[in-house]
Amino acid sequence: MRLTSEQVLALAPDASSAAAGKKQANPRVWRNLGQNEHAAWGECQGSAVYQVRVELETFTVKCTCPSHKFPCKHGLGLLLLAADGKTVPAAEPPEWVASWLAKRAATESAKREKVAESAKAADDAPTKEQLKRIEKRENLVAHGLDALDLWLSDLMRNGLAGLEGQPVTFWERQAAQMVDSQAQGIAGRIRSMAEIPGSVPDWPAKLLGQLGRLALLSHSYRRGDALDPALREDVRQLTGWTLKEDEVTARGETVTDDWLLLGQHIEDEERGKAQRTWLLGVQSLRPALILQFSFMNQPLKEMLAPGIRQHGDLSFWPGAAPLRAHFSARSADTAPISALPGHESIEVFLGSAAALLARQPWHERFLCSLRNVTPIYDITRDRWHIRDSTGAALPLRSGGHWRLLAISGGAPVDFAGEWDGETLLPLGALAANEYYLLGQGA
Amino acid sequence: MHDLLTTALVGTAQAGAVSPTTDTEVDTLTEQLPADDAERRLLLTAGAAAMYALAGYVPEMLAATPEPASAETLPACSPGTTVLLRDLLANRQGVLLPEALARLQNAGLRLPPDLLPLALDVREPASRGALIPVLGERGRWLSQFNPAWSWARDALTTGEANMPAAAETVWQEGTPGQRHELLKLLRATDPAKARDWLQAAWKQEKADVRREFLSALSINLGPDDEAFLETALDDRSTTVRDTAANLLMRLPTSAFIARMIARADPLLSYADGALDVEIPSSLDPAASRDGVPGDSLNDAGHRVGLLIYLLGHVPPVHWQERFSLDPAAFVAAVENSLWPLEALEGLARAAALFDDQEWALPLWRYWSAPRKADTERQVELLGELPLLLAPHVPHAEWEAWALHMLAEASDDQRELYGDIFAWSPSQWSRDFGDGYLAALRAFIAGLNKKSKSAEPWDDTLESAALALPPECFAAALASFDLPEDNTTWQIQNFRRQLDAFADTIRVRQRIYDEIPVADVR
Repeated sequence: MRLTSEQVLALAPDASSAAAGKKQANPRVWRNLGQNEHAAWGECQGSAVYQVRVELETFTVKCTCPSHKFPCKHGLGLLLLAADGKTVPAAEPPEWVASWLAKRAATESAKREKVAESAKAADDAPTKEQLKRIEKRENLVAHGLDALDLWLSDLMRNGLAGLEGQPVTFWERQAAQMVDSQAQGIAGRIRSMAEIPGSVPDWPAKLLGQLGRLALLSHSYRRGDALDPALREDVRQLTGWTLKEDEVTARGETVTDDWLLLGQHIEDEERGKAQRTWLLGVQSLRPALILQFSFMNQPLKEMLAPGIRQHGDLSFWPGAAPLRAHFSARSADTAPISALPGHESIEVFLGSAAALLARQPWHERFLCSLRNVTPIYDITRDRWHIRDSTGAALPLRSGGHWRLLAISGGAPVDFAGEWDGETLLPLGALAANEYYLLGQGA
Repeated sequence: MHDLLTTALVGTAQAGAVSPTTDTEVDTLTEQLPADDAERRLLLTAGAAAMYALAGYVPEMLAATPEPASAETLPACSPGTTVLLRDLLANRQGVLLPEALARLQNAGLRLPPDLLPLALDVREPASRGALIPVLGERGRWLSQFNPAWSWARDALTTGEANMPAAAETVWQEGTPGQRHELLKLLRATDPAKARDWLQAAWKQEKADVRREFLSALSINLGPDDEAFLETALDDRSTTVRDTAANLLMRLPTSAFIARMIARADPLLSYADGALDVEIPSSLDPAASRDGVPGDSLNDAGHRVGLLIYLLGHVPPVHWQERFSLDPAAFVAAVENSLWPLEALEGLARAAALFDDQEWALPLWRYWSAPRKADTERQVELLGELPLLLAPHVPHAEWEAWALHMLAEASDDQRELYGDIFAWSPSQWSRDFGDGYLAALRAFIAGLNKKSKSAEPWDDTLESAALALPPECFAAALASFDLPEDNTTWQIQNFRRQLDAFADTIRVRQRIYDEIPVADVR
């Protein structure tokens, strides 16, 4: 296994788990440690003896302890020991590991069958019952959009000035109506608008832009027949016709590459958390975004270790400019990131973002990887930027970007960040062939 | 866009049937929208304009970048060491930081850039001192961007060449903190000038600022400072007066010391091999200006206290010269006097205050010898004075005493263990470490199901974990077998303390493994 201890700790669900995991990384509390190319395992003496195993392709941990944390401290401890490269010897897996691996392999092949089924289902003509269900839902969504348009027009008629005083329920009511109409995507957009009034001095412009884009979405949905099929797919997904991952694998484009997991950002959402992981293909130079949601602190489905390069297949959600993806397969062939492909200038990057927008105008976030940019801190105005060799600069999202500044020493670095059209959120930076994760918890 | 926003803010009901435009390419698109639905038209125009603006973002142009950091002269530490140091900096086991950094410095290494923000955020003075040599060029460069990190810059810029060009302006206009730093800096290079600056500004400063600035005179303190310090003895503020008195005490030829000697001299006389000690009955009027507590001289107890105070503020070497007696003989003579305990307490305090090692040794031997305490005050002194003197006596002397205490201390004396070990020399010798561990294990072996206390050993573990030398680590990490069937809170807590002790030793083991140097001390 070639994760560094930092990358292992980035998998921890929270800071206290990370600290507890470090404590478990003590060979004295372990027996029967071993690893092969697919898994690492060991028995950990806690309040009882726990059997801990980790699958190295997906860093999936299975432990017999009763913890609700995922991965638990024992799993993190085992990964940390495996990361030091000397404590966990190569060995043949014992029965309790081999049987778990066999079970996981069976689940995987069942998944593949399901993908094949989905693919077949997509090709087959829908049954009568399916058609009926779809028609029913189409009607629901259409009614929902009618109500949405009335609401939007009301807002325009009465003006935005009064919205600052509206309670959250004002937005929540409309969002709930969209949920009832099975237009979850639109409900999410309305919920995020609730935070805009009063948040920044130019909030009316920001809110107007969001309302306008939402109106364009409902407009496009109604006129779906006039759209290019790929863009129509986007519009339907954005509205609420979600796809399951096996459907994505079956219908979307799958790209095999060495993927750089450049960074991760977690945001609190209603009743849960949203995790965004940005990736970049070494050969394809394709940017990708893996979105995962956790409700009520349920563990995330996939363990993604930022800062590594991992070989695998990414399946993209179908659309006009696909960005969202998930791993349909990945190998235990991982290594730390040691080089970062990127745009040569900020102008070229902005051009690429504009090209994506031209194909799919509702994109809101973009992966920004740039070569040879210098972080700059303006002390007097307390503002952070990165600047390319032409002098063009993009502002960094608020906060002290001290590690970035320290790593650069005022010299150019290769940089990865998330661009939202206003500011850049740093994800990582490469200096002297070493990739440093920036941002949360790093 | 302004037009668009104004319309949206007031609402189409108020704005009337206007057709807002954006003055961009978007208008050619939105002109095709039906004019009869003003709200819909406004929304779609706004949506298109927002997408247009997002796609057409124009970056700001920034002038030249600041000067980058100079190339490093020292290599960075290894990745393994980086992981260890990150833990220590993030305040897990922060007390071990100075030890690790000292090893780093000895190995000729520096911190990697990644750790610098954490390092510069450190607040403990001991850790800051140990960080300065390992911050490297990058650390010095980085510290200029954050006012909270100025300590690194101030410390790095010693020597006249590095005095800020605008020193005088900083002194006139800076914050008290900056001015204090500047004063210390100037004191190191030009003590007279620093004193002149301080003297010129003296009257305008507030009391706590005066006290802080005055304390800077401790750098390069010399006879030339005496006149100014004497004036500070007349200050309105007690804390300023105390600071001045403490500084004057460090000038052996000062009039201040001479006055203290004049007050103490009548109290001791020596003739025919016998020392006579008297308690003072009066004080000169100037005594209170020198900080001598002179109230309630009618009270006998206070007069005894004054004896201790005066002897405690006279350099012991004075008695050696006056009576031509060596310290050991003098101590023996005091023992036979009328006020042995009081006089020896005063002398012990003086030996510590003036760091007189020649005097400290016989006094230490007196106060650390096993003796029966008759009063509560004596119990206190037997606890306090050996520890007060310990830093001024040879290491081996302290260790021999502490080992003896471990092996043979009476029950009363055991109470002192925690304090004894709380003052620990930076590192113990191997013999002492082995002795400590053997005694600790003997104590643990004596515990049983019914034991209800781990005192006083529980109080020693924290200090011992920091002071044991690396040669003792293996012995320290062998497991401790507490009686499994003992469930009292005290013994359970002792178990946790032993775990913490082992954790600390393990981290120190990592420090020694990761940063191998021949000898740090």
